Amino acid sequence: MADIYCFEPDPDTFASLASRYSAERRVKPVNAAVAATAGTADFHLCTESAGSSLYPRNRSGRRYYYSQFVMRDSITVTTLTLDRFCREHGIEHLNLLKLDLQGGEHAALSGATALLRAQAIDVVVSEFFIVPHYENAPLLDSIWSLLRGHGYDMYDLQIVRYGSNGQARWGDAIFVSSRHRERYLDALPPEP
Amino acid sequence: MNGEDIWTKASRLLQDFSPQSIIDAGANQGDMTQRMLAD
Repeated sequence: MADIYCFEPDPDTFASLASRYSAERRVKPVNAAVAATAGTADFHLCTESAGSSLYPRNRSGRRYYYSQFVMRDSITVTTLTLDRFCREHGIEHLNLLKLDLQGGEHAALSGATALLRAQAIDVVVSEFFIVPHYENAPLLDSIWSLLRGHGYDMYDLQIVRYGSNGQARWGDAIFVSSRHRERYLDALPPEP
Repeated sequence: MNGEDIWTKASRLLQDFSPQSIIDAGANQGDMTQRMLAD
């Protein structure tokens, strides 16, 4: 069974996470934000915890997020990079990297350059935004381009939420390393 | 992240490879972690 390293920067949310899995030895909670660099950063707390982010809400353009999901406060949190964390914990290979960072996905991947270059991550599942929800947060095209540059293909994409004007807002995507593609996807029978 | 369908597909990609290490970045209160444990 896999060890699951869970990163959550908000101390209150982290406390709930750690309590929930206190009896599960496979789950290893870490109270930090995954980012492009290690250190500290401002973390913006949303009225709905799932909306909290290293990025503030966008200040221009159409508002695509619900009006009640605004930032209520900001705190300083510890940030780390996946490259450094894995090196320090002796993790040479990740079967799965799941990113749900409210606009911070590209930054997290930027801090995993060594892992990605080595194809040491088999599958990446990442949230993405089609239209801005956070100020200066990279959108889907940037995430896709970064991963493609390291030999990762998009496997699937799902739009999760649409705006009232019909514009796709955000969703989730799966990316597969070329190594995993070769040993799994390409080994399956071709189209009939 | 609302990963019902996407997670099922991601799990299928890994089902034959006995996952050893997973990172859940932005775990929030651990709902997706629960899916990872279950699958």
